[in-house]
Amino acid sequence: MKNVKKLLAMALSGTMVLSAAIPAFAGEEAVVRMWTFLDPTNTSNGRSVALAQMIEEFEADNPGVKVVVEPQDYTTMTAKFLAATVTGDAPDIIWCARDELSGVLDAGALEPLENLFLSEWAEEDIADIDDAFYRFGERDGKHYVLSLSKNAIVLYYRADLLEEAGLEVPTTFDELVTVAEALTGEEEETGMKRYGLGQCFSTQNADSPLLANYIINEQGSLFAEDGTANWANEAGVAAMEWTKSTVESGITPMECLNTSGEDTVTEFEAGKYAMFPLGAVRVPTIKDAASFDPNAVQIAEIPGGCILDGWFVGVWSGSENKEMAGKFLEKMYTKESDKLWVELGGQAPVRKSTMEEIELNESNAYLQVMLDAFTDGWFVPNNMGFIGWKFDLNGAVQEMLGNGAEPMTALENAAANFNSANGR
Amino acid sequence: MKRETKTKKYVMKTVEIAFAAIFGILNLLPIFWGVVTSLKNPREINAFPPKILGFLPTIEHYEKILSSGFFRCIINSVVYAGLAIALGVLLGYLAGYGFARRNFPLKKLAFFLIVVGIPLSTGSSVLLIPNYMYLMNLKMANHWFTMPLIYTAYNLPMATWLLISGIKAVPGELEEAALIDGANQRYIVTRLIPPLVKPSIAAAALFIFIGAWNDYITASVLVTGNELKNIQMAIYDYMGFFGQEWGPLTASATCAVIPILLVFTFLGKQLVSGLTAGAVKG
Amino acid sequence: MKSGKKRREWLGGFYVVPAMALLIMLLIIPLLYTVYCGFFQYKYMMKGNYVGLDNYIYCLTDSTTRNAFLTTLLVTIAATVISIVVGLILALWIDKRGGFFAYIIELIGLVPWVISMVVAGLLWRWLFNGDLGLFNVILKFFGLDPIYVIQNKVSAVIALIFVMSWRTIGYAMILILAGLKGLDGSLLEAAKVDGATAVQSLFRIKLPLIKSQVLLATIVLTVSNFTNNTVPKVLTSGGPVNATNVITLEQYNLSFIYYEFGKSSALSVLIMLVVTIIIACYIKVARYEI
Repeated sequence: MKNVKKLLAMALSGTMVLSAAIPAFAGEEAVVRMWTFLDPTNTSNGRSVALAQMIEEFEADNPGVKVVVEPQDYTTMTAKFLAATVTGDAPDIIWCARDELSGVLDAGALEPLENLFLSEWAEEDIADIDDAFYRFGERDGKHYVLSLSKNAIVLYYRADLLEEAGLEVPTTFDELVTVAEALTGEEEETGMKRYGLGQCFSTQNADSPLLANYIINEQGSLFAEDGTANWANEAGVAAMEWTKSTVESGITPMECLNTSGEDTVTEFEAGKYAMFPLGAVRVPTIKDAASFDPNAVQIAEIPGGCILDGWFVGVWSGSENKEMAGKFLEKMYTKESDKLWVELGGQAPVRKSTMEEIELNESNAYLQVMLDAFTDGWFVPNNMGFIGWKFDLNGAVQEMLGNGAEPMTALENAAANFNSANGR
Repeated sequence: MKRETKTKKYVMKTVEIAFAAIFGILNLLPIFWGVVTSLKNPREINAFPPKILGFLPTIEHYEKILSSGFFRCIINSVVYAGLAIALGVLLGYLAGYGFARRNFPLKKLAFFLIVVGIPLSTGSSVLLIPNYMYLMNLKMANHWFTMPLIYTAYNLPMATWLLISGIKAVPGELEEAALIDGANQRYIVTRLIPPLVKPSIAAAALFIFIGAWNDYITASVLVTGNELKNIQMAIYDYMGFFGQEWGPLTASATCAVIPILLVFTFLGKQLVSGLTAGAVKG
Repeated sequence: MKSGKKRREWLGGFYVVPAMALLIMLLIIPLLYTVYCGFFQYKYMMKGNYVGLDNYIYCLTDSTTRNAFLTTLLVTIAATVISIVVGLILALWIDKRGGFFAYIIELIGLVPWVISMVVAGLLWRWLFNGDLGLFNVILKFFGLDPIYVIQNKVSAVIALIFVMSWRTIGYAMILILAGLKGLDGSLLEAAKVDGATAVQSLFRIKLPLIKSQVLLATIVLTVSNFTNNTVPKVLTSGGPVNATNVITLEQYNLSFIYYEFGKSSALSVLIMLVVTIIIACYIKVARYEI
């Protein structure tokens, strides 16, 4: 019992320290709350440093205003935001993932940016940011979000290995196989088996698989006009057969069927793959952790155009501080801020004019590839929600490789899953 | 005869040591691997073949986590766990005494609530969003007391059950004798019983501590902001949207285990034979 | 006198009131709220129409969900049995051995339970990695063929059960040990004097007396394994081909991928119901009386 008392005393004194340390926001300051996965107090992440600098500048320009970032787990952030809108406690600014935006708009949770600042922007300013991402945030003629951390699933490759073998970066799916075959083999020094093409078909953690690109390359989209899955067809079967051939010829290991996206990253960093698909935003961190020359990490567009992804930032429609929240969102999109995102964060620019001012070299050549991918890439339609399709497709591959299912049957099941889960 | 027992003893000892070795290796292999990883520089972490020894150790990952507010999260977690232990042991002990020694109305129903409480608490992640909306409506999310209260509630059913069995094991005659000697009820509850159920109190405290210390999902949903962040949230920071950072991830997980081992050494004395065997077994 | 005793028993209820109040406020009411949500259609947190039992029926008739329930049951029971049996053996061993050695074994047993679950899961996954993991590097060293643990339908399930029991053996061990420590030494002495063998005194005296702790450990571990989302998610990710697709992964997907809060609430209630039934069975079988 004595111990318990001691603990109680310890705990109480700890609590006092804790409550004293919580800054009082009760003053007359206006507070803009923002939920994102970035933590501006983290000094080792370039993007966070960039954000922290923007906040500092913004607070200096607007005395009496405080921007409070409440970092969130990105996987549960949107669900939490939607729950908070119901109870009236949502943050003023929210970052939404691509697949969730449509639902957030359906819920009426975001304020049209035209009401806040967009209507005051000059035409050339709008033209500077007008791209597929900007248009993705449009509904009924109004724009609800601006995109930050723009992303595209691209093909990562080892420039050193390609050069050694005297090969060019592949531009078609057939070339992709040929190059991968040439790069499959044993690493002489370490005896490690190297595969030409890494792929992953986990249904819990993965970026969109190459077979989605294959289907888009064949027929332009994964979905029919009415929003149903459109892959249980000839193009889908061809994509499945192509995937199967990569495994059968040994350029992709059989293990891929339950490999996660994170696994392929670690394995690529270890040198197990010569090429693999992944979101381009990961380039800076992969360079940092590669066990080989970091400048050998390069990216290229996937044949037929990359699949685009990103984060979409909007203002909560129920916020009492919309004006100021809009102002800060605008701040994150100024030319100066864009430079910070690029220079400190290694992010792709949001403005076309920023790109013109960047000098490209070996270490940031990936930025140009990203910009090209943004122009040529494919976005899911934004008129309704399209959720879970990459995991549905991966499930089909698992069924084919793991259970020996016919490609058509596996695709039909995946399409049925997708349609029923999305209420089509 | 004597030699035979000696050989037998020798064989037993070898078996025992072999068993301990297998147990030790299986239990510690991933942890060992984690610690090794946390001491490598980023480029060596993924290098093939995996290096167990023969790399130049670095503490850069530890420096990194400490400079990004890890210490603050440890303090928060200690406070959360400390308050939860204090409240949980107190409420659990009182309830345990009531269940073990009294026959009050609706006792069966009350015990049923304890039983149902176990899945509700251990499976709390299943009820995450309803919990969040409920606590938001009560204006109880996002305070310094949110997590201690939640952790107390989540671990209370288990603590109560442990203390019921602990108190039941104390012979009832002891209490009767004390009453005859003129002691009042208050003395019995606050002075007489607690020293006798020390192992149960220690076990309850230990499990409340571990439950509170190791929670990620509830805290990540119920509190926001760096001021209230707990230690598991700090670990998850290194597997965010931009992927896993093996170095800081394993370094922070390593740091998070150390306080538990300290607490165990402190509370665990009650559970370890030899150190206290005399005190408990008499 | 008699009424005085009765009054004393009745007043005893007040010992339980604070604990009950907290449990009702933070556990029971959210559960009732979840049951309520299960009767409505939700899309992106927007409450829609009252749909009666539709959500519950959906969860019961969907074949993936049903299979997930069965997989969960298999994994849970296997992992719990292994943990309890091994934990019991270890606890008896430590209780007998004592001293610093016992302390070290306890500490080693505790570590898997206390280390961050997600990091442990990731490390095991990495150790099991087909070409690069330590496990296969060791096999290769002994001239054996590599085993792709996570990629094979059978070995993935075994790996999941293994890691889940690995995690909880220490918990069972310490809980059971707490029971053994509370035993009255004189009883065992008496049995010894009466000529009881070690096995007899284990099954006749020790086990019945620590029944409560073993039962509690079984219940907590069953629940904890049944509702564990982290380990299956990071270790085997439900695959390959749904071989390790446990119910919490389905539940997580409904909540955080598809935002179907009506259905996910219904599924949560069903999970709780199944677990409560299992617990009730345990209590019946163990003839535990309060």
